[in-house]
Amino acid sequence: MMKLETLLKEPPAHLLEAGDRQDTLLGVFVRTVRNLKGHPFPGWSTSEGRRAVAEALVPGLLQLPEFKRGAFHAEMPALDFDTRQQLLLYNLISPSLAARQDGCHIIISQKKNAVAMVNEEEHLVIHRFRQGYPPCKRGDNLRVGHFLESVETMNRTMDAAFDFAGDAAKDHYLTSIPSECGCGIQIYALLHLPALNLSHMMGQVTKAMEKLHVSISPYYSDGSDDTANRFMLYTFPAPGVHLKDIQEYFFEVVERVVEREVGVRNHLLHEPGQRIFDRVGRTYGMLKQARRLSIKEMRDAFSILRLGTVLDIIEWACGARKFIESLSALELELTVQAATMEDEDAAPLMLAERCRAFMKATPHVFHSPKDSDFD
Amino acid sequence: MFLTQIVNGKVTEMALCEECAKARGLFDPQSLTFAEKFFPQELQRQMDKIVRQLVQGDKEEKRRPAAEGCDVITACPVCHFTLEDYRRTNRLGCPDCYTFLASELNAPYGDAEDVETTQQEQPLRSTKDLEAELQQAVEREDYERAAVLRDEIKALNNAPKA
Repeated sequence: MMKLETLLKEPPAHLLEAGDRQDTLLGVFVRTVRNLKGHPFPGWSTSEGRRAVAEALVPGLLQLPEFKRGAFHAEMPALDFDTRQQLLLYNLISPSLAARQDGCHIIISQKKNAVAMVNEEEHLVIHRFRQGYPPCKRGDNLRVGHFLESVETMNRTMDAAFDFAGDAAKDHYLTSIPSECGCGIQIYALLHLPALNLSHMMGQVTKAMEKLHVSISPYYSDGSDDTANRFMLYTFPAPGVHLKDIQEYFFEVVERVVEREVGVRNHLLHEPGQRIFDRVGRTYGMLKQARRLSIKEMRDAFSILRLGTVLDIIEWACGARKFIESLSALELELTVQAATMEDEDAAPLMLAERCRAFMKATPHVFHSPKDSDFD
Repeated sequence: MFLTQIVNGKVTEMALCEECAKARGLFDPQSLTFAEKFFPQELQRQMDKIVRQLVQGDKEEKRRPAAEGCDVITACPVCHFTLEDYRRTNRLGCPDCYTFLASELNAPYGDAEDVETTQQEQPLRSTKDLEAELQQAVEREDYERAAVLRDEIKALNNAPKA
């Protein structure tokens, strides 16, 4: 079993690596939902009821290949507020489970790419993560295909081991919310879309997604306007729809959004208004000179810095990919540190100081364009 | 459970028994402390919703007459979740609710009525208003909405004048 200190020492690898396709596709994750027959759903259950569900599920989950070796396992009351906060920032726990207590369990795989949550909003919710993905059109989606196949294999093993509510043969599972019944799987793609956001085109994208029956929401859905240009595209389960049916359609849609983002970036690079150079330049200056930064300002600034890096406006001695990885690590580290600081007023000072130090310590060249480039 | 809500200096206090708290989505009182720390805005929204539901309770009852006295099963015999709980939370209590509350799930009474009410309450709009909205819909490339508006304008123009 993994110890809590080991779990929290390093963020999950999938949050640190640069995204594919010009750093637009940050990752894919799959949410599997199942409920046991004969037990009330967690929201209508008592502590005893939830414990009974945990007793029925946890031993079997710990035998799955994903969690068999070196996994972290805890019942929620054993985790304090700061730990839950950090797990949330590491995307290793859902907000629903983070707020729960007795009879609720979390199991995290050794590689931190699979999380099983018992008595979340449903009896069992499993998240599987994968960083980025390569081109997925024209039969070139093998790596994502392998990832989704491994999810299906795990689900088949679980279906054989547990008596889930619904009909596994028909790929129809019951959930506490009737409108969410279906194949019990949702696919999410995490996208970094600074150019679309900068060009005020996210409204159009959202409208288009509605028509294509794909949902889109900001990644940081805490009710604030903190997006850091990261958005989640995701599917909804539907009765009789198999994972393979959703997958092909969904990744086609993702591909179209990515193409639009890349197209807008190229357009912005050559537009006479020089909006993108202005934005990257201002952000660069802010990170080098600011004395106070909020978490939102820092996240937004890092997003624009990533964009400037991918577009070669800023060239880093360590290389673009390596730089983005170290920037992601710094963002997570600072967010955790700021969120757990006792003196709230000290956090903005700390964030600005660490950003200035990072910019100073990382060798780079800022390529300012000439006005004649836009004639 | 005791809840105190303060909005713009106005204090609303509520005392709920365990069953009522559950029925209003406050399933796990222990989690409220964590929810308050993690998601203050979400919790605030949830509290606002509960207060609204309590205040509008009588009105709601009138709009959705209960099926008491009929032969229809109104509570799941396994987990005792009621139709009223479902209407309030849009959730079910256990997998067996799908069997026992099937009629409600197949014919969402409340939703149908809501749609009807909304349609009835919608004021009649002039051709000019509709054309302005059509123009906006075209500008934002919302062609689905634009088509609906186009048909509305057409119907309005073809309607016999009083």
